[in-house]
Amino acid sequence: MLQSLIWFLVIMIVVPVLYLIENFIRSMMPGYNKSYLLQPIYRLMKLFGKRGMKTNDPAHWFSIVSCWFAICALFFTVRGENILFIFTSLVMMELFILAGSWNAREPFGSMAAQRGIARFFICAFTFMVSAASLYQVTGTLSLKEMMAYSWMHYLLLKLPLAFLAMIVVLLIRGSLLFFDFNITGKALNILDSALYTPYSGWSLGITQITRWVEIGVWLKLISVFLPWKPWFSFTVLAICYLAFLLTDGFIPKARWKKVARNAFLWGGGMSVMNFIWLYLF
Amino acid sequence: MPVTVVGFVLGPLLLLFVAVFVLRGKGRQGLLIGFAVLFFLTALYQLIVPMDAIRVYIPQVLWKLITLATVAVLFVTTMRDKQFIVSSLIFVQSVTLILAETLLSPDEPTVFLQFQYEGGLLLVSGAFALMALLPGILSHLHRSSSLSKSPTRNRAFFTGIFLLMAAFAGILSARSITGLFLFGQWGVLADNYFQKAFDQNRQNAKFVLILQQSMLTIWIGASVYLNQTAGSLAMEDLSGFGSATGLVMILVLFMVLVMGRMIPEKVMARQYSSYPTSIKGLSVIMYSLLIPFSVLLKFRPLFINLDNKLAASAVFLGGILMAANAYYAGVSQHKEEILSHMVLFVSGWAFAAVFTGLEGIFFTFCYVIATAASLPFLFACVTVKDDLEEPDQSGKRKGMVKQLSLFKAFVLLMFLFAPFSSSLLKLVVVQLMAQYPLAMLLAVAGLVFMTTVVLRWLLDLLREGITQNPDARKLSVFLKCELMFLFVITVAVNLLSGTIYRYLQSQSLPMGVWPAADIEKYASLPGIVHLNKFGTGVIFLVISIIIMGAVFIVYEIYGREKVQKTAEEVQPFKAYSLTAWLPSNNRIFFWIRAGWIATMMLLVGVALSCFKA
Repeated sequence: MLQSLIWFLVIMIVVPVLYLIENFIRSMMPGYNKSYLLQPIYRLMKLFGKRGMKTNDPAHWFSIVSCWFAICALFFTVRGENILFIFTSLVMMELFILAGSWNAREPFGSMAAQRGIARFFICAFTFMVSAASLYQVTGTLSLKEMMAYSWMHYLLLKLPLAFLAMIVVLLIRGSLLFFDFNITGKALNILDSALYTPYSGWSLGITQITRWVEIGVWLKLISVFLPWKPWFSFTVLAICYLAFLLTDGFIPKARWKKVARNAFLWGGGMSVMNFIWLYLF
Repeated sequence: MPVTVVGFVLGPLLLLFVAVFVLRGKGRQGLLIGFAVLFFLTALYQLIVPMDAIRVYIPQVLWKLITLATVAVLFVTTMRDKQFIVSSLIFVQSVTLILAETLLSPDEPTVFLQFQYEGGLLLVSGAFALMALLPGILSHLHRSSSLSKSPTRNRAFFTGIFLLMAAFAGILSARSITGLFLFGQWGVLADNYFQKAFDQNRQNAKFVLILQQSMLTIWIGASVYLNQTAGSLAMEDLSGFGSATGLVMILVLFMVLVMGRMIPEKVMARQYSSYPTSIKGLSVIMYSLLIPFSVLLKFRPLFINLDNKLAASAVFLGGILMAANAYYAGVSQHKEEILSHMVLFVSGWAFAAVFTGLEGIFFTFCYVIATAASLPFLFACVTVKDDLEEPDQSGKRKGMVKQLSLFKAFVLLMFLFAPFSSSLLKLVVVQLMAQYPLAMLLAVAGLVFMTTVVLRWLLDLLREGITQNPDARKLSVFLKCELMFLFVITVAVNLLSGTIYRYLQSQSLPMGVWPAADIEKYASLPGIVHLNKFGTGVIFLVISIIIMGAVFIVYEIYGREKVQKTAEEVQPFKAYSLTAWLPSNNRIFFWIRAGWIATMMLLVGVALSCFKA
């Protein structure tokens, strides 16, 4: 239990730190505005100090529920529970995020929610097929047992495409690949950014925390593929994610339907190929 | 045989005659209400305290006479309706019955009707469905001028509903192959009467009727062969056919698919298009979910030690059913159609799970019961909402009722929220279908798509929940109490899955003790069967419900103060297709059709190849 709590706290801290580092490194690059090291944290604190816009729907209360389910998902992850149980918590989290946008009664918000549903389907399909592959190899859906198996048997060698598919999911969830539901409002696509426009003030702050927690869950889940000790695997993956954050050049400027198709082909396709491969060879 | 079982089967038949020939108007409605309540309470009592001690002897010749009489009635009815193809099929059935009786005189099992472990539970589920949908049925009776003014239609409606319940109880308790034929015909007859009552477009219905009667003709013909080979007409004795086992299995599967209208075509769910939502819900839950699952369980001895290729093909067909119905639910534009596809989706899972071993059946049982409790409630809410939104005398459409949206939202949440047994499938699908990779892939795709459909619908319901329409009609106190009562039962059934498991564990089966070998492994799933003790699942459930409840209260307060929207401003989810991002020339319908036809042909081919082996 103590170990789980330590992991929980570490993940809660590490993901914001990744974003702090990204922000700091970016600020030193030519063409970017200078900013302080703790600028993202300052922005978050300032959000909690703001009052929500009067015109907003009461649906911004949904951010509390989505944050609760994200925290539950993280807790179940560090406890090494059934990965499908973790997934169902993430489904609930996603539901309440989308509900906020859908309730906003703004055309852009509704459109963003519809795209969010497409993104949810693609990620859920990829994850479920990858979970089936994991079960086929390890004989369990318990994350704890999977970690033990991975450490002994080099899971990555058996499931390379499933691993890549999960990386695709991580990047999609982090708004780094295909979809661009950027919470900071820096998104290239004005329609996708609208997913978070109904939130403001404290509710946007909570949504930001929810996103960080969710990224932590995915990092911990995917680290199970790596054949090292859990802390080392997590660190390696966190550094890789930081690299992805810094390069951040994956977002295509394409129509969203094409984006969704690409995401499905790459994420879903790779996980299905690995699944078939397991049975053929 | 136990007197209660006879009461469940022949009781509705008796009431049918009373309702049609003795009573009129309100009297019929009163009888229906009394019957539904009594049926549910007796089914529940029978489950808790099995009343097998009091037995009644019914000679087998009576069942044979009833079978012949049923076929004769159907023959006359179809001749009168000028359905000559169906008439000729029924004629073949009656000739087969008479010849079999004259030449072979097969013995029916001593106990013709008896509930086994599965029958009692499924009977309660069906009785609950009737109870849940009764207000909708009564409301339709009040509103429909065609039903109230036309005595013929009124009679046809009451005949249909009593026959449906008799057929349902009969199939659940039938122990013989001819019993299944008899009660299957009652079901067809009930459907025929519903079509007359609701003026069903006969074109589609005709096709399904021909299909069903063809299947029943094959079934009654095959029963002669089965009786000759197995030496008995009892379903539990049907094993040891050697190389012909595959063909017998295919016969059973096709019977279930055709009689349960489970063929994965969109037109099958539209069979009930002209029915009111409540009758549609009742029909689809009984015909397509509870009855098929029960029949498959009855033939479980036949499926044990089945050739793996046959089992894999059957499970694959179940996977196609799941994926196809999830897709159809995604592209449907009417809520009752989505619900019908949800029922068929669960049927697909039940179809596949029967072949996945005892663990599969064990969990599927709970899933089917939880679904049979949740979906009638949703059908009931849709019915009430439709009634409330009907144009009033001035022709103005009034808005929806907020409470209904929140009720529906809570019940749909059970399909997503892990501690509820309605979402059980998500946690066990991978483990239980591990031996059948292709079927698992389809099942997973279907599951994810269905989850997306539920999620999209939930978004709309949460949006409706804050719509404050000053002109909205209010729910009557009776409806409020009734829906609240049903809601509590629905949630309780979903939460008390542990109790259902314990009930199943205490039952014994012909093939061994019920609990599967790996039950401990599955029992450790968080929040599912640990509700009787303090565990992660319970904490997760309780805190989540408290937080969601608190948020919904705040949401309600804010909504009342700030939002003044009319119903017309709410964009229904049908404005957005889940498959909008797929290429416009995708032919998923074609691939689904190709898939199920190829699988059925494969099944027949594999079964025939067993002869060669």
